[in-house]
Amino acid sequence: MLFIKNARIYTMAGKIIENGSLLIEGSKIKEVGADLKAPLQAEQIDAAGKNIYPGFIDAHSQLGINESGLGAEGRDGHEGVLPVAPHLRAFDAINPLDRMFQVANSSGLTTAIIGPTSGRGTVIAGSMSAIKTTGDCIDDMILAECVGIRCTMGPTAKHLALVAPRIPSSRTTIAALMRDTFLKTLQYKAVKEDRPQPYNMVYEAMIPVMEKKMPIVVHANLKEDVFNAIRVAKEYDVRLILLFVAEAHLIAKDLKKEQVPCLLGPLHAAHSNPEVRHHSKTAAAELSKAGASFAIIGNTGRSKSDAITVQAALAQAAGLAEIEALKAITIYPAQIYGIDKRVGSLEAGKDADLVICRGNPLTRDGVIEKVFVNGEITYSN
Amino acid sequence: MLLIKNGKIFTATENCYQEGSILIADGQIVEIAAKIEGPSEAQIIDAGGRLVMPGMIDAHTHMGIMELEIGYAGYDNNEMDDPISPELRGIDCINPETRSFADARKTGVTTVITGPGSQNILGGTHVAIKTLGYRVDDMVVKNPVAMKCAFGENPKNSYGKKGRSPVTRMAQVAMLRETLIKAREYMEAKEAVDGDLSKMPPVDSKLEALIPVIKGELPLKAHAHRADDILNAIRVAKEFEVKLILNHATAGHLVARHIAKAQVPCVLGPTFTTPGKYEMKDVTFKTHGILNKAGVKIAIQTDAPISPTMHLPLMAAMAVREGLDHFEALKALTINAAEIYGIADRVGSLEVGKDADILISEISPLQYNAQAWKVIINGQIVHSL
Amino acid sequence: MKAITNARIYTMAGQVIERGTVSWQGSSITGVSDQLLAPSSDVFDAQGGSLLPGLINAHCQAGLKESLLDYVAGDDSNESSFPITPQLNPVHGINPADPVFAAMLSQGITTVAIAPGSINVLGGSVAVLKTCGSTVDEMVIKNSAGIKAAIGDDPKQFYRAKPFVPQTRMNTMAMLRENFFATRDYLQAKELADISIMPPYNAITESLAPVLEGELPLFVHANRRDDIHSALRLAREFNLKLILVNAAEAHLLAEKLATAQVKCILSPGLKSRSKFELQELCWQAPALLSAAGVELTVVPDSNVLPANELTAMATMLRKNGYTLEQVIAMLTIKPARILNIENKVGSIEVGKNADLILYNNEPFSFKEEIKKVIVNGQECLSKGGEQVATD
Repeated sequence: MLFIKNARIYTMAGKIIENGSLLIEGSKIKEVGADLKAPLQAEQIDAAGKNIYPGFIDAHSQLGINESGLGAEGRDGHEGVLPVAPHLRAFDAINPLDRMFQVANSSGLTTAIIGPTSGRGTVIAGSMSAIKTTGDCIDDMILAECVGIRCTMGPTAKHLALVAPRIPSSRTTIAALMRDTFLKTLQYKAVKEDRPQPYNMVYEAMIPVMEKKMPIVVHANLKEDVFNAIRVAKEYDVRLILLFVAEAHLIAKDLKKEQVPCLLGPLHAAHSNPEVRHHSKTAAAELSKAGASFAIIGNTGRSKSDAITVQAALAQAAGLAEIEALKAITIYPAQIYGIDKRVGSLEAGKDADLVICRGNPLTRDGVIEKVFVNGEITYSN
Repeated sequence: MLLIKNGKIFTATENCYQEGSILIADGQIVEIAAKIEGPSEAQIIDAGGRLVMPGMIDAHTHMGIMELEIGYAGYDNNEMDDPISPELRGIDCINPETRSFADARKTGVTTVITGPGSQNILGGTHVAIKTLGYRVDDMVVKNPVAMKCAFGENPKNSYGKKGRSPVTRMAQVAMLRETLIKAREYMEAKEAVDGDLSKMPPVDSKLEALIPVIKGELPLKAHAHRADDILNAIRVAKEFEVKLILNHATAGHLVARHIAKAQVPCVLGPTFTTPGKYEMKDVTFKTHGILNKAGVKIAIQTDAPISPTMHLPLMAAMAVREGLDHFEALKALTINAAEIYGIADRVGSLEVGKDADILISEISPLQYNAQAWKVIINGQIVHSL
Repeated sequence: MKAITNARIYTMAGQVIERGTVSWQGSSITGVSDQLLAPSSDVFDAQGGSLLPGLINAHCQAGLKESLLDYVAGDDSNESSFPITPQLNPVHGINPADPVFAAMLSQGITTVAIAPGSINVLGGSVAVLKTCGSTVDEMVIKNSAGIKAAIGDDPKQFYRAKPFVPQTRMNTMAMLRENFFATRDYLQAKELADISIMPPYNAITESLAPVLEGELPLFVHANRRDDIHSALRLAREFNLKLILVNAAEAHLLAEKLATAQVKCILSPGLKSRSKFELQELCWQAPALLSAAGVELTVVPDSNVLPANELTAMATMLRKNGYTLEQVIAMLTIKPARILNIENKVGSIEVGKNADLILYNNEPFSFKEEIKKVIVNGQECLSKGGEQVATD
């Protein structure tokens, strides 16, 4: 048992608790509140003058799947010759010993949503997993094996139509491949309920999508591609989450109306390619104003792995309220991915994933002192 | 509410002008009369005797699909790796904010037909959209309006040159016919089990997309320049009893009576061009007048961005110079295109109940120096000189 | 009857016999005792030299990837046209005239397991042969000891360049799972069907059936810890018997492997660590695994067998925690058990094959000399080291 006391606790579930305490038993939070008594057998940590936050969650990470410091040997996220491959599982390719896990963890990141990546020729890339950022065996680090099926719409997925054409070399084909996969999955499911048939990993992986138990998470930056994604998802009534969404600030009202959550970022991208030429740091603030659902991604592993608080800070500087910026890297991604029963806020019964910080982690004076995952200290300054 | 007064109105329902006014409310035309006493809140536009006509329709483009300014990221005109791609849909690749749309509005082109190109034997569906908006789904007049197919040199260049079928015109027609036969069988098998997925043969997105064509609900829009390609298209359409629209029909004037007999409409253009391919060697602005007089319904296209959409009225003007009747030219730019694509319930003419898509022009757009004075889409002024 | 007497016998089935006799008839051992016999034309006086069971090399591409010929003509170790080829058998690609067999015999290796390389995700079977013979048919003692698989860097590096699949670790694992699912369906269909509606013969699922049913192990080439975890995950999912090949980082997971009863074939080698995934390769590894209770053997690093390679290997093992007897066991009875051929070879016991190596003094000492190599009861190597012709 561990009793952390005298802290300002940002639970992300209601008011900020001044002079608060938190009791950890095993891997879970047993209790959190203002006037708790420390059990006799509990080890105590005095966090006077410190802030406590839920462990941060990166809604889109490449930790371990595109390894740091390596070339092709370390890149396992893009199976470029298969346009439709929902059955590929990110956790079959994550190397937990990539030292970026430690770097990310020491910056307060306790859960990373890691999936296959976008790239030429890949429309449906595979399953994304929720992974705790500490451990040496991936099987022990999995919080949820599949939180979404990763897709890409827009120029990134296209082959060069006029130079080296291969399917898909047009946006029309990307949409057609997605619809075709949905339709074939529906048939596979219907036949399965009727009689035995050969096992098909692709359609098995898609069944939960058609049953609305699992979302598709679609890389889409330009407005055109966002609306294409919405159209395709609506036709087959599947749950949609949008990823990156560089032009989100231009269509906040539409996103709110369509009730599509957006995983925004990375906010410091260069304006160098046609997809992101209009991106703006105000995206999160605009969506927040419009009442639309969003989270802020860190893209850890690809972007600097200690940057998720930087992303939140950039959004705050551009107009997002501080508490919203913190929620955007904790409870919002947890809710969007449906893992909020375990992580995202400091509440009794949830995993003891937390960050003790001296100062505000969204400012350069904030210093992370301790990080906990599953009740264990994984980093101590 | 908008009240246009003192206009020289061409409604496109008759070959004449009428002096009068038009009242617009909630994006629609609510009254056309010699004199209208509008409600006080109506914004008044005094046309001062200027020509008031339906917004023009560019009857074939790739607008929003070939975004030439940004390279491959904006090029979605053809899936270049599969000659049989009817499952593709034009609506899935349109960027409605590309520059062509602003050019269209400034010219008085208020509706365009846009969709995949002609590299494939079957290329996907085309859609009719207004030229105003940021989200294409909000701009749709009708989706789909046609299933694109192609005859002649383009599919041969795309595939035959790479050693893949079709290498010959024989193969083009054979592959199209084979696909239509399979679509018909697929449709029948599906109907036999009431569309029950567990009992149907394996689902096929390509054949699914062709069911409305087989049923006669969705026309085939056949790209064909040369006379023999035109006749190939007519023959196949007849065999399968499907609706047909001829796209380009460059040598149509050479086989006018065959086209007239088959009652197939033609979307003519882009005629501002030197013949860059053998199959276009007979290109001429005379085609319009000849086909029109033979009783063929014609519309006009720029094939934007192949030629800029702002030259649409100029193309009609050239056709008039070469023998097309003046009013027929104005109809070709408006109601004919609407009727060909089945969108005449909403656009193409000035009639009560239709969309308020209106062009007010100093002089007839068929004059070379014409400019749009005001352009209205869905009852909203989108361009003022 | 033939015999070798007055030898120090490392039976690998109990205590070392300080001075004793081994006799055999035909190809089988008929007697092992501490009695001495009088030398004769059929009874050889070892003069105190050491008698060992023939050594077993548990994994290589000998004869498949030929040592003298250039790439295309001589390399049959990877059917690199397609990544899934479990139906292939190396027996059809082994050239027994390759000098590597003589080299192996000259260092006492009498049994060798030959497998496809590590480019294919599923490469083919692992065949077991004696190293003495002029045709493979006489040399083969087991057509298939298991099926070879490979995950990690090798398959994806090769196929990425084509480009073909797999390009990532994700798809490597997905392809393995897919084929096991297909095998499961195939077996179920076969069981249900009567002869008139049997599923069509499928070479791939037929070859994987014994692996899925647990009769044969899956030999998985994997080096990095995350790849080893992937192999464990696959074995758990389909209840497979797992043998890890190369397994450069296995010693860092020793407890886990012991619990999962996974066997290891290591090749710490004497050369540099040539790839990123080999960076933990070391000679301390075998002892760490043995201490945790993992069954393992060690094989030479390469396809050709440089002179004294085995002695060097043995020396490294002795420097890193093993006694001489343990080293010998590592090269005889342990690989025999791993390959499931211990009913025939691996120890000097009545009833087993007469595969014997006679050293003039202590084996693996750099001063030893192999005096005789006997395979299936026949002398294969005379003192000069040349292979004796057999008929």
